[in-house]
Amino acid sequence: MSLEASEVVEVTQMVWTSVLGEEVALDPVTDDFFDAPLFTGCVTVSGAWEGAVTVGCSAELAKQVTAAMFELAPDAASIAEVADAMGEIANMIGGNIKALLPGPSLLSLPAVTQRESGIVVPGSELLLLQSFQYAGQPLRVLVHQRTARARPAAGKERPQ
Amino acid sequence: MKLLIVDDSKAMRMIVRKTLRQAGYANLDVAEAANGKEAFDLLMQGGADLVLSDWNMPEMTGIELLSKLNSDGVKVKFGFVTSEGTSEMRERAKQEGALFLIAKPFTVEAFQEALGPVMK
Repeated sequence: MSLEASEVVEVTQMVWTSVLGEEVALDPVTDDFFDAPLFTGCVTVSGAWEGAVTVGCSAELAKQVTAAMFELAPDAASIAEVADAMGEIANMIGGNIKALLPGPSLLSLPAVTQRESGIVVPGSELLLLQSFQYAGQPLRVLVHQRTARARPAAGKERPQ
Repeated sequence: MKLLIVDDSKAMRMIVRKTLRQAGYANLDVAEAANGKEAFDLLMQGGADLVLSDWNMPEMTGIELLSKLNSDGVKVKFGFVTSEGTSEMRERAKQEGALFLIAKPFTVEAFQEALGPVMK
């Protein structure tokens, strides 16, 4: 397993810059300074590597991102629009992280939770957690890897 | 030129539209579809000159859409705009006849580079 925190930082900053521009930097931080992300987008990876990539952030930051993506005024975004935007952010970050992992594998469609303390990925362990701040707002990217015991037995994989 | 944007994310469809404008393609006749099936139905109704499609979508994926267009003999220029740009996927897209694959996140320059030869 060769995924490095620096690669997750690079991928996340690349996605962030493409959505929000370069006026304010997305800075990696060592402290995970919030413990209850209010919006979390998640994609799973299945195949040669199995696990999940989740992107969590405060509701305020989620709305800011959504406003930028939909070209809306701040606070004008609906819940459906926030879910769409957070799902696409997770898809872009997850898709690029997947490319750094052993393949071939498949990327799931994104799922988004609201007002949850995070996403539990059963049968997996936390491989990497990278926190960021953007204009004082917290964001974090987590990579969970499915443990060997939880992987499907040989011959019992789901049909592709 | 008629262009069809296919992506299950409305936010991404809007970003693709904005990037097209920034890349200098402001005068296109642009339609949208939320998955491959919707796109296929729209193409059967009115056609398009170019399809910009996401890969991973519900109902029908982008590569399934391209395969179906090929098997049904529908001729349309086709390119992918997707978060997954592995060499395997690029090869598969090429085999099916896709003209380009733009990886998300993308830049205006990436659109100009991919679309420039197609728009001539």
